[in-house]
Amino acid sequence: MIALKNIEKYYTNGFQKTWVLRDITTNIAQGEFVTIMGPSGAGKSTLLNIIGMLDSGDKGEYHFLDEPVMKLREKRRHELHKSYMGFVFQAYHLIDELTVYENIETPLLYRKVKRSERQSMVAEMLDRFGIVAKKDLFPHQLSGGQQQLVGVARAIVARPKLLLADEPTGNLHSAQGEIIMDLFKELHDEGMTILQVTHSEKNASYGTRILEIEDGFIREDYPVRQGGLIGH
Amino acid sequence: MWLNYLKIAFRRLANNRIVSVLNSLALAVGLTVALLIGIFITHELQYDRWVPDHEQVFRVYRVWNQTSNVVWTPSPLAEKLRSDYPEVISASGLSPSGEKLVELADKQIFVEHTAAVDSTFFQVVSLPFAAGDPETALSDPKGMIISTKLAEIIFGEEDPLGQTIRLDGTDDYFITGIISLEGRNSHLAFDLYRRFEWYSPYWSGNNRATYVKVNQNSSVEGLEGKVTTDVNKLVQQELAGMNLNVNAEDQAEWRLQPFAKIHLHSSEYSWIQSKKGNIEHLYIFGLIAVLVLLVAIFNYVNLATAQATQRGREIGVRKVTGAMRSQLVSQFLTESILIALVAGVIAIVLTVLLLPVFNEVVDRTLTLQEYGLLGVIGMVLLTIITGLLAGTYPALVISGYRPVEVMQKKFFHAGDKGLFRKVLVTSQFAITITLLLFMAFIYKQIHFMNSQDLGFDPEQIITVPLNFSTTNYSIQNRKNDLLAIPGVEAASVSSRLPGKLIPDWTIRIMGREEGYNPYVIFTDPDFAEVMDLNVKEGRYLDEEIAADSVNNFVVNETLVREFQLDDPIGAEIKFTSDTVWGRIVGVVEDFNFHSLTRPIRPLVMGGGERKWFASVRLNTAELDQVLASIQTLWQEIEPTHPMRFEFLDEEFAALYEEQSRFGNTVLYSGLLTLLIALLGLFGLTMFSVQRRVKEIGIRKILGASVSSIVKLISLEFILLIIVAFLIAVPVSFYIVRKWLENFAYQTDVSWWLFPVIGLVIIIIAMITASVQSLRAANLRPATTLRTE
Ligand SMILES: Nc1ncnc2c1ncn2[C@@H]1O[C@H](COP(=O)(O)OP(=O)(O)O)[C@@H](O)[C@H]1O
Ligand SMILES: [Mg+2]
Repeated sequence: MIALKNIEKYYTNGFQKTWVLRDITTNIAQGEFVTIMGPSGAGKSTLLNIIGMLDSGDKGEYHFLDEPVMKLREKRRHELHKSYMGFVFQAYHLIDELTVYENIETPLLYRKVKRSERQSMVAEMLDRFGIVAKKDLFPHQLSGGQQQLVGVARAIVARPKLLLADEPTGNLHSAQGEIIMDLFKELHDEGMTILQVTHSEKNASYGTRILEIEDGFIREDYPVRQGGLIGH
Repeated sequence: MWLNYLKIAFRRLANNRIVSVLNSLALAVGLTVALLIGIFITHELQYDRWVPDHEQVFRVYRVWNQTSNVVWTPSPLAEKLRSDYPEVISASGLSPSGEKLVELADKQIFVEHTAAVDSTFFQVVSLPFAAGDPETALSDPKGMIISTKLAEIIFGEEDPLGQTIRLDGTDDYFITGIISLEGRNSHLAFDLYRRFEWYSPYWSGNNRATYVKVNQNSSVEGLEGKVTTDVNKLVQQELAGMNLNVNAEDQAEWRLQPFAKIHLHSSEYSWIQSKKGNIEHLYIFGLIAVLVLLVAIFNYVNLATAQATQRGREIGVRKVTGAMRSQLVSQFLTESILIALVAGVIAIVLTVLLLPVFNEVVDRTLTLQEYGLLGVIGMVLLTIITGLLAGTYPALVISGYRPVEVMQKKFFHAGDKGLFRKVLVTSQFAITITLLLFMAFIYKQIHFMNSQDLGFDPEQIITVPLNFSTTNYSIQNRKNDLLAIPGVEAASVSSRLPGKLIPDWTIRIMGREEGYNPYVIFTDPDFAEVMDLNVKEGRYLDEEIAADSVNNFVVNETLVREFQLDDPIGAEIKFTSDTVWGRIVGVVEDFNFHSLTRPIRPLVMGGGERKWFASVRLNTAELDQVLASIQTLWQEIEPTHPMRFEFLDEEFAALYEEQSRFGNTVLYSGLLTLLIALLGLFGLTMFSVQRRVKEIGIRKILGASVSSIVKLISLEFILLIIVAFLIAVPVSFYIVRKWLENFAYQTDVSWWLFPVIGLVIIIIAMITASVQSLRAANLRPATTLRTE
């Protein structure tokens, strides 16, 4: 599904280049649940954003579903992004002025889904995440865990193939975090490809594979054994 | 989707109350100004355009030396146009006949606007008749046409047709037609039309306007050319028959002015026309409306882009969830249009409230009803366009943010450092300061004109218009009784008065070929005393000397200078049509018999019988008593008419009414622009404080004083306003100089007014900017730092 080859990313500050990513080469297949780990500032978010087409690499090749992303026109990229991807953020990033229901509905509006269909799709999410009673509340009326549930619901309501999550539990305490991770597992079992960034080894254990990044390089790439974490 | 946009727009409005209020208020003020001026402009443009066949109707005028345009034409012109030119359908004369006293039973009404016309006038100009037949209404010399307005005042519910009313206490007329403009506007706004009572057969005379209706598609220039050739020839023949030389002055270009242009394009035409429009003012007003609206739009742009930091996250989220840039742009435009619509509603309320004041400023009776559905559509369109203009730039900027940048807050600064915003704030204040500086000089000029020594003394003089040519004699007979009233110093009768329309006549000077055209006032000998004129040479007219009431003249210094009379006393002059020569017996010091917009021109004063005004110099503290005594006496002088009087100084001041009204318009728009700019400044400092709340907290912990923090926030804006001032100075200097060219007597463009106005505005702006920064500076650092 995702094929990265020699991806580089740098920022120029005056005449000086600072590399954020160097020589990233890896493949991610449909149905994988990959965790990106590494110290702060290692380039995890940057990599996730490049894969999610929110950012682009400066060098290298990126194929998504066999399309050469870096050579595509903006419009096509936007289309790919829109039809295949869902995003979950550490800071939830709900829209303050919209209710829970409306936040979840937003991606469907941008995908021109019919009204009746929209209603049933949002209702399904509300039901699945157990937040039906909260549907008319505004984000600031919810706890962090509830906000992130809405965040996930919004990310998957349009049935993306790939779910990208940047430290989704980073702002949550462990019980709330667990709910989110259980949800990810469920989604993965249903066939969704998931790519998450996390600092927590426990969260990583929900996945199938770990990419460790340091200073912009992939340091290690190894599978997660079911039932436990492989040490190294 | 739209529903979603609207929903979020409404919620944002409600959540950001201060910004919403600032934005909608500023736009509302801008829209109000635009709306009021828009109403005024459409009103002015609609004059006469509704009159049937107006495209075929023209008013004749003459141009001399490419400069002065004169509407007065000789009486026989209409007849000649009708009979000699195939393209002319009909032609007819009209002359305003001033104020008339109308009587019915015990009712006495002064009708201000009356006119005399040829019987065929309404075949040329198709004003709508509510009753009577336009073709035959004036067939009878005693027929009279009145307006529905006058009919209602005199007759109420009764049918006026066929009723008899008395005019000026002497002649009876019967009503044969009612004209109804039905709320529409025409430069022909007379309430009473009668037939001409007299006719002057001379081609060199000019005593009425001539209106002409031509066939469709006939060449107007062709007709103008033919008339010019033919009439000039007639004038030549006529003058030759009187043994007079013909000079260039007698040979004018004859032209046709389209009917629908008369209202707005006649400011340079000599003619009596109430509520004359002025196309130049229309342009200036239009420009002001655009500027004020622009200042309000700049406000929105500023506040919206200043807010962008807050909205960055929302944009990021929307893009990540699949929004295309165009969709985000539509969303922002929905918001700005919504605010504009809210502002539009406020603007309509403000317009209704301000219309009476505005009517006074522009001297009209505008109503909103006049505009009906079209007005509503226009208003909605204007509002939407305003919303689009205001929303486009912020929408483009904000929708361009890249999600990665805005969502990882650590790297996000609102982009452009606000350079564009600075430019807008500066232009807002530059426009404001320019308007206010211009306003200051308009008032300075008006004050200058009112305080200028006129060369005569207009104070404590009452003037009374006379209704009959014979009143002159009644006054001369009773003058001793008039002077016997304590408090009355002197009394005089004259053909015209300083400040009124004064005709020019052609005179001849003995021994010279060419004619001259000085202005002429016929006065009795007491005129110099009443007006307090200074006789420089010789003497003023004298009662004891018989020739003084016939053909002895007094002239002013300008005449002596311009006509190069080396030895004026004793020089022989005469009016072109007179047979005997007269003599100059005195020279008076120059005095301003016109408003100070015009320079002093050559003037001749002579005896003669045409006297239409009495003027009485008073010297009293008991004005009411003296006036009452004069009024009692007046009942014997003119028993038919109640006496009406004005004070000459007030009349003279009223000559600058147009300038005052213009000054008021500039003043009000300047103040409103200032208000809008201040609203914007208030909003911007608020954002600036919000953005720097943490910085302020830290500075306070480090020991910064309140005043240093206020300075930190306000200084940036004050600098912008100083730049605005520096831009406004040369711009307004240029505008003021240009405007002053309209005046023969100009006030100095004194430099000190610039810094004074600039300083006042900077201080007001400083206070506005300080409100927010003071608040922030006084917050306890603990509170501000916790919010981060
Ligand atoms: N816009 C930018 N300009 C300069 N440096 C940046 C920018 N964005 C990210 N970086 C740098 O790139 C590096 C990686 O950032 P990021 O991918 O957010 O790391 P992580 O998510 O692993 O903590 C960091 O050192 C950061 O300072
Ligand atoms: Mg990160």
